[in-house]
Amino acid sequence: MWTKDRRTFEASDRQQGGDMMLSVPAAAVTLLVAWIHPSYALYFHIGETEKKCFIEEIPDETMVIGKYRTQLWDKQTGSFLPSTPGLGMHVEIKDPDTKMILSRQYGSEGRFTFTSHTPGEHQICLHSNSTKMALFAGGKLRVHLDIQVGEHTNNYPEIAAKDKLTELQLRVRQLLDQVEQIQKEQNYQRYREERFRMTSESTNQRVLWWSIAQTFILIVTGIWQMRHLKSFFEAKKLV
Amino acid sequence: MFRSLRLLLQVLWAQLLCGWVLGSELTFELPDNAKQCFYEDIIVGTKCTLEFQVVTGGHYDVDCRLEDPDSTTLYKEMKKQYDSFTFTAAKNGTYKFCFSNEFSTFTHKTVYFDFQVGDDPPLFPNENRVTALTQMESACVSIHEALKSVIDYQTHFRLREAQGRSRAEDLNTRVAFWSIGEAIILLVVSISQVVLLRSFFSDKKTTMTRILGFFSDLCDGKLSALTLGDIPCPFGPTSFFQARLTAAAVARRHGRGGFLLFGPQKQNIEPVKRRGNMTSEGNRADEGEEDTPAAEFRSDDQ
Repeated sequence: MWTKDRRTFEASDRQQGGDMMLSVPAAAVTLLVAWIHPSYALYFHIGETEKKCFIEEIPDETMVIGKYRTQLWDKQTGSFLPSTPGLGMHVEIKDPDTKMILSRQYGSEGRFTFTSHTPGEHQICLHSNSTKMALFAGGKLRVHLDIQVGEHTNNYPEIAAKDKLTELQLRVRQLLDQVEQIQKEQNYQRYREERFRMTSESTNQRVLWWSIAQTFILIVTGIWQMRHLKSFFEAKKLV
Repeated sequence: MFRSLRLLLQVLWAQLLCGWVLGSELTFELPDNAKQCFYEDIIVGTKCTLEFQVVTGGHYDVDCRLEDPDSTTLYKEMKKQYDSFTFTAAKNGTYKFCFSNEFSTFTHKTVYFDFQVGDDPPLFPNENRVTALTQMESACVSIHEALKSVIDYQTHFRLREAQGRSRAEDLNTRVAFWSIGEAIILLVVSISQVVLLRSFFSDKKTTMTRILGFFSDLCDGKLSALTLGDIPCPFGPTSFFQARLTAAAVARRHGRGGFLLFGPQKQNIEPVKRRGNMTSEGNRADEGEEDTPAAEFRSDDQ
């Protein structure tokens, strides 16, 4: 069954070769047009001085790729301009110890990437830093954003082309990457659970010591009060 | 030649596909009284899923609303902690979903959402295949789907654990502050109880009783009037010496005007040094015997 399918696969390969002759220019034109305006699907609006932060809780040695595209509201046409030069976004990335990993200014379209060295909550902040403030009279900026983490950052067709893998090998490679991601996440989970347990135990200890200390303070102050007042009243000859 | 051209096209197409996002998950912070909206352009017939979960903040709930291009509400839930909604796009256009924290006055919320549009991009770009998948390939596909759901469960577990952990850390800091605060309050209250009790039984002149004594002496006097600048004082101390002390002290306290001492029959006893505007702390060096501040003034019956 395997060899039969292989032959059919090769036959369809050849047939595709023929069709490709005609559709190559069409495909090229489509691709070219689509390349000019890559669309990252999800977008949101941001104000002029507003800073938008996103949190990514990731294990260590994980790659994160972020891509964004900005569009400015044009009051005259009443719509968003396709692209505006001079519009920039400042990207800041902080690691779980609030240390700045990346702090860079990008243009109206940008791509940033980093690899985490400590597991935990990383913060990705964006705020606009436009050179011409007059552009912002409308007040709205549309930001398309896409953040891919871990195995989603892998570009499988590129890997296939580079390592010359067959389809099955590529699928297995994808499964291996996924399993590696799951393993890393579970490792991180173990580390987090340990932290949680330490916090809970510390709370438990604090409550225990505090209740003992409070009882002790109460008893000591009670005794001191009684003794002090007794000596005071004796001195005053009231007792 | 066709092969290389096809390879080039495949790589280009792959690059393009990687620019096409077909699913986004983000975690963001929603301040109090704020609303955050996200938009996505969807083609008709695409199956989409929106999942959200509140990670930290308050009662861990948020309002969520999903609208289609004609502003018809497809999904609306108030104060939900976690939910998942699947729909098929009936129209072409921009779909909008919003998270609102407007019901909360001072808690920031961290919200995670995962918006999947359509299926994953195919591994190989030339997916106009005429043959069915082999057994190996279909096994790979099913393992891939199973692992995707494992990763999804892991994400939700991580979020729930983050919730629990943030609550535990809050509890820890609150217990620390409260125990220190209560110990301090306990000590302060017990000491002040003893001090207050002692003061009830004691007739020694403390600062408080001295100040009280000063004013009562002012009112027990025999001199009729002692005017200082704009301040008429219809009472006076019992002796001349005390009167001078009082006048000097009160003038110093009020920091203005000079003083003239008058006896009970309004006779001018002693045109004591007319002072100009004095500050309350100043001119103390000038006064020989009058350098006792008002609080130290002792009454006659001691």
